[in-house]
Amino acid sequence: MTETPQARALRVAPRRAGGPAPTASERLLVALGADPDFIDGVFGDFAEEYAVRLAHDGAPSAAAWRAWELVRSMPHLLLCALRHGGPRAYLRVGALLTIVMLPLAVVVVAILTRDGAPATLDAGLHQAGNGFVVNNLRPVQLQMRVRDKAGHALPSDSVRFAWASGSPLTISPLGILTCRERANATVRASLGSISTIVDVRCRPVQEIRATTWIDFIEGDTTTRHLPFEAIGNDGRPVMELRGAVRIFDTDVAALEGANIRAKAVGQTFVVVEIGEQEAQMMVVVHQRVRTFEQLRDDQRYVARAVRLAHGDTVHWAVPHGTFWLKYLPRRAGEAPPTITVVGSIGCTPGDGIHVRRMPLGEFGTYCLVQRTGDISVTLAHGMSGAEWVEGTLAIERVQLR
Amino acid sequence: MPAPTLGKLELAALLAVARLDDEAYGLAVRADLADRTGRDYSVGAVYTTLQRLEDKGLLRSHASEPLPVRGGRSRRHFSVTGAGARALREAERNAAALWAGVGSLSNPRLA
Repeated sequence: MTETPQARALRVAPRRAGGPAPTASERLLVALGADPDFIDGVFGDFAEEYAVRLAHDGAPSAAAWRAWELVRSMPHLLLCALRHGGPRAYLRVGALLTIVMLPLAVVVVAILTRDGAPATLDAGLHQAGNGFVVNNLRPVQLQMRVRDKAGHALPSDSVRFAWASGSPLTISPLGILTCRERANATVRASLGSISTIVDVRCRPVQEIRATTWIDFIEGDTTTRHLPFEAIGNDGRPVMELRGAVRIFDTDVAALEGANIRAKAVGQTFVVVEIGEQEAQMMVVVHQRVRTFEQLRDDQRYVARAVRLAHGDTVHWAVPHGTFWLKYLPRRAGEAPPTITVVGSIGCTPGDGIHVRRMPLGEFGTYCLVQRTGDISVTLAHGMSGAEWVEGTLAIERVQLR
Repeated sequence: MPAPTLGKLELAALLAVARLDDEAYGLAVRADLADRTGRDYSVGAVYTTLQRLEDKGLLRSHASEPLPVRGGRSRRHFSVTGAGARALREAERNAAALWAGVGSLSNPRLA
């Protein structure tokens, strides 16, 4: 029958009556499962050899010997206690280590992570080097990054600001800046005894001009700049921008900084946010097809290559339903062919196909065609202009609710 | 039943107990080991070895009356059991078998 630690403690108690009280080390080892007789023998040896050393070497030497002997014996005694104590002993050791180590770990973590006094100040939000680029028209809060010597972030609420040099700026002591026009200035940011000079570049953005669509053809692996342009409140393009770009479906296309790359046939949106302005662009990756006839319902984004010589005309049937018809020139700026839709159609805007120069200089032909009978599209290249017209006719089928 | 396998320290401790006879308790065994091996084994190491040998049935122990020199604690005296004696003989035979044919340490091949 297995003897419990309590039973062992009772067994050892009478023998010790009148003898020395067990030390904390003894109690610990017995509690962990060591045999009390065994522990009594061990500590008896300690006492006996201590007495011998005390007589020969003096108290300090004997005490040092006992302390060192106890330290180097303890691993053996603990292992012995565990071996005899079984699973309960392991549980007790686990609990003991947790009790001892947990507060220790908490103290160590607290020491390592405690915040010190502010040591460095630098520009945080809208960061550009040690400065800010501000694209907002409305007042913004400048946010400095405060760290202690260990690099821990500290609250920055107490940082105070003052204009230092350059263009006049409207900035409050709490760091609320209003950029009314393009301006370059420096501002002093202070917190207690530390201060720093930061550059402030006001580049207020009035408008973001962007294409409605970003069209890719399946298999196009090129990376393109996002086709948008920020316009300042002085009407000039703004080149220094800080903002955010998001894409909704990363299975269709991926953002790489301010660039975009097609991934799979489908449609998604890209949103560009700069200052208070926002622009949304639809991204469509078209499936390459040889004909628009007999398309399946799930083939919503398709494109067919166009190559016309002087005098060429082609007539292509278009699928049922409502769709955008787009002509995508092979290279930006190349003139499109003459495109007409034959049949009973309703077209937006106006009543026919419009070839338009897109906001950023690309030609495109976009028309929402609502088919009400048999229709076809005709593409013709006259005798003037380039010898060849090359591009893609794309159809984006719209699911009407 | 084959004799339990003995480690180097176990064999030395078992021999020390056999040698010390009635005086074989922890402190004396430790001193004997230090004299013969030149190593200062800790009290804990010696006692755990002795208990392991007892667990294997090679030693038995009994407690003496409490002694003032030990702060009122008992000495735990060890003695070799029959199984312990057989294990020692087997260890001796094994050692002899290992040395057989080597001859004297003056053998030039050992030089």
